[in-house]
Amino acid sequence: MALFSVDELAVSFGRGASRVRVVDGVSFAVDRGETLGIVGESGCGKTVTVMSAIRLLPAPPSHIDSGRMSLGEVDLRSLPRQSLRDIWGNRIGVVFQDPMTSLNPTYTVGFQLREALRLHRKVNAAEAHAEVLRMLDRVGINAPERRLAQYPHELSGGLRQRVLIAMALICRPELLIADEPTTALDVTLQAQILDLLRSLRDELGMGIVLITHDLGVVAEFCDRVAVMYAGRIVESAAVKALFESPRHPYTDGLLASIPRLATVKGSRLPVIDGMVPAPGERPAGCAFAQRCPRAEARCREAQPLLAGSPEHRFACFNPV
Amino acid sequence: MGAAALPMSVHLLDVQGLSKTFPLKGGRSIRAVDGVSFRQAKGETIGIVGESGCGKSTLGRLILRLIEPTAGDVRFLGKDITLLPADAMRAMRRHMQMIFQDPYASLDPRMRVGDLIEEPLVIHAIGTRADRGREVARLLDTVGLPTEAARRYPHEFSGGQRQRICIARALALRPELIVADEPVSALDVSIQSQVLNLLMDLKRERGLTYLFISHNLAVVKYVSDTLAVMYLGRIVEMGSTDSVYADPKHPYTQALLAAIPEPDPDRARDRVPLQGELPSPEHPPTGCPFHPRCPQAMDRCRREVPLPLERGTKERSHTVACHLYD
Repeated sequence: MALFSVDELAVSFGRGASRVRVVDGVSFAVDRGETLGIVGESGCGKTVTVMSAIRLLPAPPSHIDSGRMSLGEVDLRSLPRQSLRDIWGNRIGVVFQDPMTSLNPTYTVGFQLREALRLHRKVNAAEAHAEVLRMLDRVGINAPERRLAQYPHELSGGLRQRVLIAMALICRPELLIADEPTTALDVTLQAQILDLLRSLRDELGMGIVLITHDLGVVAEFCDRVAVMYAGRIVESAAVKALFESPRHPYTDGLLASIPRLATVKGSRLPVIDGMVPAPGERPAGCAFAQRCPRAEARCREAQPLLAGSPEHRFACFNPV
Repeated sequence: MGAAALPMSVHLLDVQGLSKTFPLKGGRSIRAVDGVSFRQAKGETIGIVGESGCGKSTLGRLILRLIEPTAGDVRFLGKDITLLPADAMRAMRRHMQMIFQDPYASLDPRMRVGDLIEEPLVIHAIGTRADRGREVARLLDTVGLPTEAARRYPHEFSGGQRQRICIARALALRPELIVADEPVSALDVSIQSQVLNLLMDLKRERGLTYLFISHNLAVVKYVSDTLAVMYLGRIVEMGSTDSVYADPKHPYTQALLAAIPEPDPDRARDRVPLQGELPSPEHPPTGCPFHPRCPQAMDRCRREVPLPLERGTKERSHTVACHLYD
């Protein structure tokens, strides 16, 4: 049984006539010790998908129209609010993009970490203190004793992100959701944080869902990847297979359009023409058809479903 | 204009010893840019790379004199613009324009796109109203937007289209030099390549000179002829883009290149992860600013600031400020 699985999830926003389907028919699963990357451009629904799946997205305004989500034996869809609180921060840890807004500026780092632990574990003050120090040391923070008394604004961006990771992992969760965890960081810090997450994953045996727009980060860090476009998964595969032989024209176009170190200077970059349709304006057939160089008549009429082998699935009538 | 008569030997831009110190509360200060010198030929694209806080954006603003330098000079078209009085500086700005990272914040939301693009022409009293209208239509076409965009407002456009509007506005006065500060960083991948292609087309068609500031080394490599790597306010390595990427000399440049996540799962990862973070520019380290993070730091690096040394060939300049190459 997969650690975390999502089946046919559909999410909409708004009410009445202005209700708009944002995520549609999304399924994926993550095993223990495995990292799944969910990649896509702004507005593709990657964050909404994952945050809805763990019920962290406020409802309303969001609404889960259909789908099954489970963490091990627990059915997340039907779980009451109170039971969700026992799971968040405990069995599921979450790291957000912006460490400044994810930490409370009015409490010390030590207080926030101890609180995260004591919310779920019956430990006394001394035990909590020791565990917090152990965790700060584990995420590579020097002189952890000194950091405990500091406030978030006294820390650099890299340290704040390490504190956030320590907080997400302090209860040793089975699943870590990381939403663009390195996007706000410089590239040398990003490399440090990804190395850290990788070694913690191996040590704790947790599953990771990494939400990102950066295909470079996916290539380096993930085992499998799901590419989202306009609220749906359009392709999913092992990382190597996806980068070596992308089948969906969107994945193919995206990979081709990124300038790489090996790109010849001044040569024209391949582009994907046009832009992503807004959620309320998605066309009837394949949402990518209007930008797709391989589109045929049927692409504009019917929605292609995910097909292919279980290891490499793609939603396209005319794959690359 | 004046630029057409420029003799070949004179550089379009000549920056010498440029420094900027920002005062802080309590008599403290930070040195954001520290003794930067370089020359830029007409038509050459120089890429400035470095991580947040390295001073690359401050350098761009100093070159356009949007902020006043603490020391050093900026010669543009042979004139030291740091000495120009305000009205002469305003006239000079015709030839030097800027594109910013955030196309949302750079456009007045209450103005129509046509008026936004026309505004620089109005300020510099260029052409009649009808002339300017025709020019706006031409500019929109140049950046790949429909003519009717002129009547609409910025919020009606996507991020990539807004950056096109900013580019049209920057082009209105037919500048020689464009300082582009992270022009594609806020854009999605599929839109980035559209805007980069546009910038490269404009360079070819109009002979533009770009100073291209970015943290993204792959993007900078793609657009630049020459590359300058900044660390804590200084240029630590500079040379032709090909030679810096093929043979990075400074340990910081090496670490920076190794840290880029490339969309290729098979790429060999022999990176030496750089430890620590950028020190606060308020308390810069003694000696070489990079020494606390440098895997190859020697005793001398803690005491002496390394000066840029020429380590390239006759054809291709390549300077590095590192004691390993003394």
